[in-house]
Amino acid sequence: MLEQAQEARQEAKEDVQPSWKRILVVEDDTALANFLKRGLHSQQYAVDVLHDGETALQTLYSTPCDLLLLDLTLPGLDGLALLDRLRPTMPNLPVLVLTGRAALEDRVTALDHGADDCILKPFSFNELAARIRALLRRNSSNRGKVIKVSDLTMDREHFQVERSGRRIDLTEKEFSLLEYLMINARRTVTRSMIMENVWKSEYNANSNLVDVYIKYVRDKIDGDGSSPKLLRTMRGVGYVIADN
Amino acid sequence: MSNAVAGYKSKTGKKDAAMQQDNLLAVASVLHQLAQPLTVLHGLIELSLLENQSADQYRECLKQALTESERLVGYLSDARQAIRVVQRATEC
Repeated sequence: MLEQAQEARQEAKEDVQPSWKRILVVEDDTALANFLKRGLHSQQYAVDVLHDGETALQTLYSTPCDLLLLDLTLPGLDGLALLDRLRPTMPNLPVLVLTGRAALEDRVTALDHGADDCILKPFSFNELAARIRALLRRNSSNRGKVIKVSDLTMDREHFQVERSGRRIDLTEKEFSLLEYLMINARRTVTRSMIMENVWKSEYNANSNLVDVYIKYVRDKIDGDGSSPKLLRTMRGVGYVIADN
Repeated sequence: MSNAVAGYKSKTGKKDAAMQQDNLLAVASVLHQLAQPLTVLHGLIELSLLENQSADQYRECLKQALTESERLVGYLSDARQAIRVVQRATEC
């Protein structure tokens, strides 16, 4: 299952710029999924494609994405069940549902289960692309100005970080790194993902830049006897910030 | 759709209302299946008009469009077969 997700991600890495938003397409119809990948890539999105709900859920827990394009009719865990399990931990991930069910109540049900938007098949690709742009726009303007993980608070508007009321001074890069970790709280992020999203450049396995900055950030947020330790190393994988 | 066909073939003497319900389900199934290739076909045309592509890329696009139109033809053929089965069942 994870191999399938890694393959999808590896394929998607081709010709993708680090600054491109990442979309996960979950669609069991292979032809439609491949078309969506091609079309969205042409609109400068990094696209991962998966064909079943269970793999998609595992991938979402381990690999951050900016938007989920979700078919409702999937083998195993279907789209609605996936939304039910996803929303408690990822309430802010924009989800656009693709449905072949024309009935109004089906679309209402999808929205009630946590979808942000719904589009009925067959749809125009131009309309889909416009809806994706709108959702991403809305999400970036609505992103919480204050984010919290346990007693660690980040005020993104005023560039302030506190832990249990203790002010933490961070450099600009340390702030960006911590922000990326907190946005992806409880999900492991790899060194490669950090390089792409914080430094906006390709990961170089010979460089220990990420590890050095992680240490700086860890010393500041988990130092001074702070408990519990929030920033953890996932050996051989990357880092995660979480409260348990 | 093949399940629907098998269902009609079984001719279990269902009442009209039940048969109409089956017919509706079969139609819904056909519509659902048609939506996938139609979406791809429509999208391929839109993308071709949006992008400046090489001759090879246009050819590849047309090949995909042909595949999807063949998929549509296949579904239509299945639907016709289903209609014939229903017609025979109602005649008996």
